Amino acid sequence: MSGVQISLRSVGKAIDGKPVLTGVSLEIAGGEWFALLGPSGSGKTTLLRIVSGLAGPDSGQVLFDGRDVTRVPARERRIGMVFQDLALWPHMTVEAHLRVVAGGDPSPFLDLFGLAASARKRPDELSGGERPRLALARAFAGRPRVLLMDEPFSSLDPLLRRSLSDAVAEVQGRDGLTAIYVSHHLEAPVARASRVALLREGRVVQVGSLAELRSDPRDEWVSAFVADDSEVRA
Amino acid sequence: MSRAIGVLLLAPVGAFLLDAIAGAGDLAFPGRAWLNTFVAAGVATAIACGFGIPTGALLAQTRRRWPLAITAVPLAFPPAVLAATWMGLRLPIPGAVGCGVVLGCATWPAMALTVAASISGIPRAEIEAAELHLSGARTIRRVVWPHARFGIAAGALLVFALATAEFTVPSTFAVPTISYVIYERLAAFEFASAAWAALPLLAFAAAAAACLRRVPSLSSQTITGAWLRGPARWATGGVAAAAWALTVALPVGVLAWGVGSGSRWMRALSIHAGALGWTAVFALVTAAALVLWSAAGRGRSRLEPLWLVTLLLPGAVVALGTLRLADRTGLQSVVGGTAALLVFALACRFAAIAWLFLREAASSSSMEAAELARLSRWVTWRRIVLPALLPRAAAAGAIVFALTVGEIGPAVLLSPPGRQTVTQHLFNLMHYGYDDAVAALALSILGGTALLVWMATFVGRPNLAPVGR
Repeated sequence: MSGVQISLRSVGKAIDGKPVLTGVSLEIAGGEWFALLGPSGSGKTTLLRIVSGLAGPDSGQVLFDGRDVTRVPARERRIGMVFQDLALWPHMTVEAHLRVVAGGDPSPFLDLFGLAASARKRPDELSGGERPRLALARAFAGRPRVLLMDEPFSSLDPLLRRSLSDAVAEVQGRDGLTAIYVSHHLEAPVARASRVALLREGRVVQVGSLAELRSDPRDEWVSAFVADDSEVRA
Repeated sequence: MSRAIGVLLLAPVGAFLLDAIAGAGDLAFPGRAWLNTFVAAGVATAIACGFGIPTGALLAQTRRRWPLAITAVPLAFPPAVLAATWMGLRLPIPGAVGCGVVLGCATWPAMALTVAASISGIPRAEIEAAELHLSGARTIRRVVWPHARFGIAAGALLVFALATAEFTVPSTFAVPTISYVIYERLAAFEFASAAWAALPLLAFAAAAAACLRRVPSLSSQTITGAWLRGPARWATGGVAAAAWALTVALPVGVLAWGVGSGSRWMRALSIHAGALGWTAVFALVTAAALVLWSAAGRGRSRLEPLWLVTLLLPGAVVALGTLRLADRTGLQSVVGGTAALLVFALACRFAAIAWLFLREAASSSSMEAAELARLSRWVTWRRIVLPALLPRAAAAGAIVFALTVGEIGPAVLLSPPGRQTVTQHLFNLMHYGYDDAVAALALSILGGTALLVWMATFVGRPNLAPVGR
């Protein structure tokens, strides 16, 4: 399985008359681990929803492997997504979550994300570390071509965050998925990205590797935003 | 389709407004009736504040469901049952103040529920942050009160509107309130005059509905932090226990004493078996129709405030609107002899309850996750929507069923010839005095309603809140 090359061309979106995204253009290579970084309210989640097809842009285009998918429904894009609130189905057990999405045996995903012992538990019976793992397992169970993660680990401790991002990166690398990770601060999964796009007030300020952003920041704001790397160094 | 039905459910209020405009020249202002109404509704609101605010505060701090169930019970059973209890206690025939006491005992849970909903919306961290810096009294004044005041205002307006609209209690005790006057004018076929007199009730209902819109939904909230401690918690617990004893345990005891024995209870039920069966059938049809309609709707609707207004208007007014609508459209000659108009009027009246229970049963992010997982529409409905919908549908159905059984105004005006509901039978019998038959019917209605509310509380609030981190 190979990842999808994603192109965003001059994407614009307004919510309740207020512009949330303005002229966003990005190129994400197939199989790349890409990070979207920006403060709260900068339009990261809206951009992710546009890539997934859950929301449509007011202007601009979304292309997958050069094909215009702007009006293609979300269910036809083969996207796996880990939502900010995880969006687990409260009445289903872990096993049922994975079975209904995978359409077959859930055990490979249970093993992959260390959920075998909790297979018969419902989301409200899972620990704080198990819930994001279930959300990740569900995203992979649909055999996606693109993996979108909307700050899924932000409430976890740094060690758990690093181990989960290692597990996800392993599967992503193995299957060659294109992954987009959204965060509002510099954390381990962002540092893992081959490139980072910095968003501010709905516009892309700078795109490049973390090293490039640090060595050649476009302005003081970028410099300050990528400066705090205590977790990354840890 | 769902939206079109939603608009249709507002048609009786439209027809009522047309009649009110036609009756605008009626200058016979029922001043005495309005005075009685304000006294009765004012006393009811005061009782509701006394019982409801402490009980609501208590409900906001408990995960147990039985306090919620026992609180909600009096709101669902017909006020005629409490009037029967008054008679069973051999108390003197009450005036407007006494009517207010009975109505307050019937409607105080509305205050408790709105207060509980508004307080349980306070984030736990907000309370805990206050605990670090403020005394208990200042925590209540500076943190709890700004949230609670909307619940109290909405509860007070709601109780006032419900007490103003209620007519069985003043009618039983022959206290002319505005709802009683409206009912009398309707019975004399003075439709326009009745509608004109009822117009101010529309203002109360609209104000209460507007206030209720600012109160968060109780089912979607978690319990708040423990800001009630020590003597304050004991005091609120004591008030709640007294309210439960007075409005639930006392009626059960008095009515059971009045029945005397199981055989007398069975004999009374067998005499009214036909009415019981008929009531069950039309209440079931009404509840099923509303549940199906609400389940088919998706998301919120701009018509919600208008359905709330219809809920808060007197049942007789909605019945009047239905009757006039049928007259104007020529439907009266087609369905006049059937229960269709009664079912329609009750569906209009209780549409808000079914809708609010079933609205957004499955969260939008759950549905989006299903879409991205490429589940088919059928699998999404069967595996995601239905499990979230079923408990709420059962709860909504149970509550609508209970309220439909207890509704007297529309039943009196719209029941087909030869048919009467069991609550109508009770209401009619009470005009001849209190005896074992009255006690048996009232106890049966009370028991059935309590059972349904209990079921709705336990089944309808499953742990289906979206699970996040």
